[in-house]
Amino acid sequence: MTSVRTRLLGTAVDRVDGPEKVTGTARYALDMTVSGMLWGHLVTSRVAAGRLTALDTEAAARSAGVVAVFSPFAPLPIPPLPSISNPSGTRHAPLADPVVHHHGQPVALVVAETQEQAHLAASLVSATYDGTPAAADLDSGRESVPDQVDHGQDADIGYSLDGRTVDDVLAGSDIVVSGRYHTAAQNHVAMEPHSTLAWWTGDRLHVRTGHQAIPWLVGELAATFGVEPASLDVVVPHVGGGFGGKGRAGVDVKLACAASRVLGRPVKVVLTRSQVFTATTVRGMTDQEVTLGAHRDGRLTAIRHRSRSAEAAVLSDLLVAPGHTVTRMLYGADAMEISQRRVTVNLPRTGFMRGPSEVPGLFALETAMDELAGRLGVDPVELRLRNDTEVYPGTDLPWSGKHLAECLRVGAERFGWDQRPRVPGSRRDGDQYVGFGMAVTTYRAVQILPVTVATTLHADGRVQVATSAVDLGTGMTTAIAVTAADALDIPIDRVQVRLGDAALPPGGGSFGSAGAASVTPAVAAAVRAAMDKVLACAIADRRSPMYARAGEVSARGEVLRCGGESIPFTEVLSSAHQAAVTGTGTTTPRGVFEGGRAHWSFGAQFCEVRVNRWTREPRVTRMLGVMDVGRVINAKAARSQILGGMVWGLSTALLEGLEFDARAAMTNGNLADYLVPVNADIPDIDVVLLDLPDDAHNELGVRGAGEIGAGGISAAIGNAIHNATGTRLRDIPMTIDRMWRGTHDHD
Amino acid sequence: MREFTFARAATVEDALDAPRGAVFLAGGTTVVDLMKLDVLRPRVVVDINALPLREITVDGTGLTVASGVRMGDLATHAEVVRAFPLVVEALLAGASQQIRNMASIGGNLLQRTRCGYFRDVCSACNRRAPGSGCAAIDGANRTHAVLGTSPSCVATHPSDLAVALTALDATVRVTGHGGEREVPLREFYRVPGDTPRIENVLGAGELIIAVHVPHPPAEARTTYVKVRDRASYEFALSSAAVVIEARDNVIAGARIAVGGVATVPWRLPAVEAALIGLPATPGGFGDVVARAADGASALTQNGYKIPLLEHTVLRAIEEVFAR
Repeated sequence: MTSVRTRLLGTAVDRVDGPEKVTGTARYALDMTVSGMLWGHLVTSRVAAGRLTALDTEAAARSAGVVAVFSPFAPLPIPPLPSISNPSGTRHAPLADPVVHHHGQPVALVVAETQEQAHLAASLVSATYDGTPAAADLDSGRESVPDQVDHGQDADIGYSLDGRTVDDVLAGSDIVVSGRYHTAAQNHVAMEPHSTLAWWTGDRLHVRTGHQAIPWLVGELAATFGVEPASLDVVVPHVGGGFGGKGRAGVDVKLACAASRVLGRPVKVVLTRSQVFTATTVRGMTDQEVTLGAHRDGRLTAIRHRSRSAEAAVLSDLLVAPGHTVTRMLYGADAMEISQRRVTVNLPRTGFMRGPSEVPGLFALETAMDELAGRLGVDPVELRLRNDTEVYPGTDLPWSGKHLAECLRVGAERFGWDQRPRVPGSRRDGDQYVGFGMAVTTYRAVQILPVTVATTLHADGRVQVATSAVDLGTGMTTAIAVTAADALDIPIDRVQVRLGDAALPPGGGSFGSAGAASVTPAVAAAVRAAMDKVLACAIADRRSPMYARAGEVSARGEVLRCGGESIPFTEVLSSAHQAAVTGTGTTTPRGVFEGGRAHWSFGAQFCEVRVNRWTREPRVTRMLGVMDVGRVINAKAARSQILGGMVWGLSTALLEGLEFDARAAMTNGNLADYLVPVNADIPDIDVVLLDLPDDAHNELGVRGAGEIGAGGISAAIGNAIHNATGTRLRDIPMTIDRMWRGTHDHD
Repeated sequence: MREFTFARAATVEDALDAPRGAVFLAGGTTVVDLMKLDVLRPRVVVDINALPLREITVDGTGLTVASGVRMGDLATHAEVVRAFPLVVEALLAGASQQIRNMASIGGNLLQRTRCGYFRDVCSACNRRAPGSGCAAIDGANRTHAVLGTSPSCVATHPSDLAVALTALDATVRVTGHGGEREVPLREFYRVPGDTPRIENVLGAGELIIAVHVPHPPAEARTTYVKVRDRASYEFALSSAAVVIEARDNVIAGARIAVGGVATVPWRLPAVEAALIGLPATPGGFGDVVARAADGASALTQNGYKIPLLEHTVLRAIEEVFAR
């Protein structure tokens, strides 16, 4: 007997935590309280470089409710640790020494009985600095050659297919385009500010915080506070957005844990919005030069990409490496040269941010490709198709599964790309110039941390899935429920998912677009393991019709089959007087070249822009993203991921950028001045997910949709602005002042 | 936020009896914000929301708005929508619906600059701390003023409504212990000069009780154009309120005020005069609007505002005739 079953996997499923979120009952770490809790409030540096010479804390200490004031002159016992990605780099701990590395660096923590008392007392702390000149931008910082770039690559990389250098090939190319591109520094501005509640019971440390990877948090806290990982009670209840900004144990975590240990009482530290801008992490600014050589027909002959990226003086987790990350893999050429330099700038800690290097890199490369298309008179979509590669450039490694050409063709058709203005500045609708633009996007598909998932099948029919993975609000909980319900072929409301607790099996991290691809195959494996135990139960149970019929019994969904007989696990367990069985499934880390294939996701993005003919402000009126991200687990959540990424892409293209004045003071570190889009900025967004399983990647064919959505949007918008007006902007954000200063084709 | 004494005034007389240095609280959208930032540190805050200052009247003399009226209520008042579209456009271009539901008309006119250095107590700012200097002059000044500036201060006035009211020749009714007086809005604000701390002609303890807007001429056409980085909920980089009166297809009168580019709402008398007698049809205003930036001077990052200002005025004039 065969039946066609309707699979849940890949359908559009409402998020299981939706009602909690929309009714405001979801409790985040900063909502948690425990009795006897104190509040910590940060004092931050007014200068960007130099030394804190004195700190007058007398008035603060006398202020009502104040319990303690910690500072480099009255430090907390926090040993300095290096960053995650650069273990040999600078060691630093919050409030450990009086050297100031950036504006807004924490210089004191005031702890008081109430939040208001702590806030008021913090304003009474008076600091004296011996300021030194600060590097505020890429032109004033010290440049150096990084030891390694992006997963251990050299600072200078490339290849030549025939021994010729890029210069040689460029000299013999039909056409050469070259451009210099700048991208601004950014903050994640997650809705949930960084916040931690910590307390100790003996040597047991209890932590409630928002974080993207419990195994990393546990490891970092165990090392910092000299306790066994097993004695850490860490719960990450919900995360109100991570975007790469909650991957480390931040100042809130370390200060709350240390202060609580010293004071013997629970301490909660919540960063203010302006502190989130300076006392967490940022994406550093970049200065990139891209040179492309091509044949008359558009096939690339040579690619050169030189980048300089800003890096913080201390505790950088990441040097943005646009060429190494994007240009190395996206298009092939006879010769390629990529270089990366770091420039030390007095920035807040530099670290991961959604599409860390991809967003700046794709802006430069995909703008350069548009400039090349314009010079050649080749359709920009056609130019990408002519440069589509079947292997990782310069090697013979095939892709795990690449459908970029299909993304381009589907997108062009759906967007009406053939209706685009052929000549820049040639189409007007009333007082608006209209332009179309497109770009390719890409993101690597890897699994970064090992994952274990436990699935428990209860005799009463309930299914529990548990792992310490966290849900950043992107739908991890729902993806797990969908995968388990699909594997068991049961309604999703029978599945209960437990996440975000260090006591559960290690769930890896939600970053690097690796969450779903790491966790969902482990869920499927855990379900199989649990059903294997059910099967073992059945063949060992004398009352079961399947007793001793090993080899004849098979599991399918929630039932065991044997001959014509089908028995659901509930009956098997009840018959065997077994309340529940638990199976575990695991996945292990996989790199980009796992199994002799190159694992990347791809997409094509299109947009329409209108620019006022008088005042030149650009507004996006339509966007489309066509994505090849492997199999889709939950079509609704995956679409939302891409859509959210595209919104951020628009924000990056037109609005966002941290500003630093000549003193390296951040001048827009608040949500009134650091602009992110409002609804009026966001047009109709259309998302197509090809939903083609990548069977060479993992058992479910899932790659991940977390970061790819933002990638191509900056270039697509800039290319559309050029198509609309003839103005080519090579710096983001493309604000109105730049529209007025912008270069024109005829310049 | 620092501790303060909170009092409620029941009558205008109560409010006027507030101790020296007290701050009036209406919608709180400026005062509470700046108190949280430690920019305002009043010892006494007097809530004036119970005062009978909520009336909107449209009659033969024009529009009279009591100062406690909320922006949102004025923007949706049927008679105002019909007779004063320029006021409504400017109101709806400002803030967000949530803020407009709270913010009062009097408070709107008195809102403080958005200069980041004014709002950051750690920075030099002559407007906030006289004599401390101006961090914006060689700092982040992309959004700062090109008109009405001084070596002491280059901060813009943030109100959209005030720009429209300036173009409409509105007057402000002020009361104090010395009695009531009417001040034309054009004379209400003070350019910073050497004393940027003094932003307007209100005397100590004086209270705005109403704004009066005369009817524009029957033949007048109006528009408000606002240019900003973000499509909504963002202050102007440049804005223009235009009132143009045409007779027999010839421009007979023009009143133009601009915002986002000047330290106070800024009238353009030279442009207004140059428009008189020109054909009241689209096109041909390029030379006229070149006068818009008369006297403008740019800082390191805001030079674009000079052509932007001219083109904002041009766009507004063109849009008036395109209607």
